[in-house]
Amino acid sequence: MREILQITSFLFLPLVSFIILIFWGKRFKSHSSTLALGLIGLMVLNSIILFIHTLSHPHHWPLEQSFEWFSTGNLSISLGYYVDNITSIMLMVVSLIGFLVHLYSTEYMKGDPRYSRYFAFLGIFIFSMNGILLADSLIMMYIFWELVGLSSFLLIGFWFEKDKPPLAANKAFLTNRVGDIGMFIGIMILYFNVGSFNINGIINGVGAMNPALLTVAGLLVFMGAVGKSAQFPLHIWLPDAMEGPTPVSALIHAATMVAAGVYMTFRIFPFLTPEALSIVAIVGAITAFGAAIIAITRNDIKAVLAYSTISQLGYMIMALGVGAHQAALFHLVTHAMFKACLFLCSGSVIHAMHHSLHDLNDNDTDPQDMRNMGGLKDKMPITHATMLVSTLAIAGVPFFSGFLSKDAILAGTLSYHHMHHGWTILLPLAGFGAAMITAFYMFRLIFKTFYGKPNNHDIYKHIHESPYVMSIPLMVLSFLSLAFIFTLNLNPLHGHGWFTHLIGHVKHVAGLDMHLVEDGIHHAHNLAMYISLLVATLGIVISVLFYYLKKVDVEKVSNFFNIVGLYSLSKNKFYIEKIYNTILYKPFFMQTKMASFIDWNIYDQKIVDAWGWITLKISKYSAISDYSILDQKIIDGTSHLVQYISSKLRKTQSGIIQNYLLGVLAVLVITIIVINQI
Amino acid sequence: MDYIQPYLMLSSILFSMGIYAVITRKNAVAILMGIELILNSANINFIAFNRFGNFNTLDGHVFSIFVIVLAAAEAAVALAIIINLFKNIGTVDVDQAREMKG
Repeated sequence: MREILQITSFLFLPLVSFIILIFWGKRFKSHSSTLALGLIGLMVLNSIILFIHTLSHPHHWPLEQSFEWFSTGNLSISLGYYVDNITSIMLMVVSLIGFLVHLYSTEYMKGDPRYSRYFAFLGIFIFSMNGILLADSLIMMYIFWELVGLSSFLLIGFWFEKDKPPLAANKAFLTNRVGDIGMFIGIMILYFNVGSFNINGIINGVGAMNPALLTVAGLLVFMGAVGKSAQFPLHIWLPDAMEGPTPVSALIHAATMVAAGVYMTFRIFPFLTPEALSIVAIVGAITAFGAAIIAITRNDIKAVLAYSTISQLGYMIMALGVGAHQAALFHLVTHAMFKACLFLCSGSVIHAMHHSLHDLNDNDTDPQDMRNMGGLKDKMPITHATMLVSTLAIAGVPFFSGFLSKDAILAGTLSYHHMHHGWTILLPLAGFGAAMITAFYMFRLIFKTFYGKPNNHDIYKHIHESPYVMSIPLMVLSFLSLAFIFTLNLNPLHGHGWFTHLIGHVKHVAGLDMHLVEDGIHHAHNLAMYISLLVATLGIVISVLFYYLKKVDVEKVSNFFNIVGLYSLSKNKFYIEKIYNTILYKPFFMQTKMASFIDWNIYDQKIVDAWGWITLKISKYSAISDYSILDQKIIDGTSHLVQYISSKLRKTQSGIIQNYLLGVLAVLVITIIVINQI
Repeated sequence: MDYIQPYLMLSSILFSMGIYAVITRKNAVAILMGIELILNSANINFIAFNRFGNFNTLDGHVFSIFVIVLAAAEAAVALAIIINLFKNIGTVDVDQAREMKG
């Protein structure tokens, strides 16, 4: 009972926060953040207790509980939780980052007219995210999956008075739907072949399934992850999602929600067939490399981080594809820490820029454009230091967490190539290439923002470091980006620590020999490490030459690359949105225009209006015949006749009684005569 | 005088005189007098037919007494009407009372 209470409180605490703030938030006003902070703080404590429990009682695990939700006929759907080491880690990551983002938001969102609603939305997001983590069945995961989509929609479109956020929210929601439909079909295929929604039930039951069908089903379920984790070709929503408040970008669109796709793929990993996994790896590789190239030419500080997020998620998906599931989850957690830190740092910079522009009464300058920054290092020392730490982490520099996890992924791709040869050389190439580009563009961001001379002295003068409420989360997260945290070992090259041990091994049931994969990764480890060190150094050195020492003219280089169209390819995001525009949106709008043309110009204007015209004519003649003939002639004629006759007859009514009497006598006499005649 | 004819002749003359008075007179009181003549001619008829009709009863007499009583009542009512007429139009000339002209 205590255990059920402890687990379900991960759902109830944020839900209570949501319900109270959405209905009575107006009364709390600025205290609404205190309430939300209190409840999420309790959740953090709870997650730490659960985590300590994980470490101290390993034989109690996993915790499982399930009850029937409803059943109709043969179909029975149950809700339940499945908590193992991985869930425990993820719960702690989500709670911790959620708490820090809440704390950060109290300052960042100060003065917003919908302050309490913002915290309510954060509450429902954490509720649904925890639901995904705890779910023991695909159907329950799907329910929370959609709830996460909803809360993401609400938070992206939080500033709905502006032009762009509602459009971005719609785009995110609709793009996610494409993936979710695939996921739902996949879940249904699995249910009708295995007879269970329960993930462990499916893992135990897929042995009998047709491998080709299992591949298809696995890929369909994976489509959900493609949508949610912004993988190629459904990645287009994530950069637009940056229209939301920056802490939201940190929490949802960098650290947690987008990781849900990776987490889900991790859960279904045991029954993905090798064929499906190779496609997963290709999708991940394309995403990792493509997004990294796009990120080079972004000037918006958040857009760089958005594409960097897509690229890193591509890494995780690629890691799962090559079988390096430990590395995928490891990178998921390290990435959550340093990317949340990066986003919150960028939020801190934007906040400062925004206030500076506000002091200058300047509403036209974009506070997110790096071309307006520069030299902020001295003005914002804490933001600079923390951002530098997390940049070193994402660039893959030893002593920082990103090095370990990225290195493990790259080892996975190398070992995959050793096993399969042929085209698979592209996977490590994409991986190392993306690693180099990542190091390059992240340092480009750092140099353009914090180093060099200020590009705009007026703005620079009014820049101030953010208050402690904002910088404390930065410090905590940058501290958690150190490699030491994950290994408890001072040797920076040693990647195996308590963390990888905790993730443990996964039994694969669909034809992948995990021992072989793990051996391969073990052997490839050293080679991967040296190459990744090399490429990271190369990336950083190029970046230093370009943007810090300015030895190389960036214009010339970009023009050189543009000879083969590379620069404009990156600048225009590989034309993917344009291609979608041409092959999807334009034909669709053509179709709707056609339908509208048929509906309005032909159906409405011709057919419907023709009926109206005919009715009008008929009623016109009907009115003429009704009025001129029936009314004027027959009805009025009768009355005219009556009037004429009565006008004659009334003359007999003289009013003189004696005349009447005379008439009576005359009639009497006539009557008597007539009677006598008979 | 055992013939009925003289009685009937008398009553006819009386009746004709009454009718003439009723039709030609302009004065309402004179018209009322004409009506009395007509009633009395009827009385003569009643009595005459009772006397020469071989009836052993006195029905004719009784009827004529009824007529006399009715004539008295009628005269009272008619005079009341005439007084009201005079009050309304200021004269008893029936030609002036032409409210009912169509």
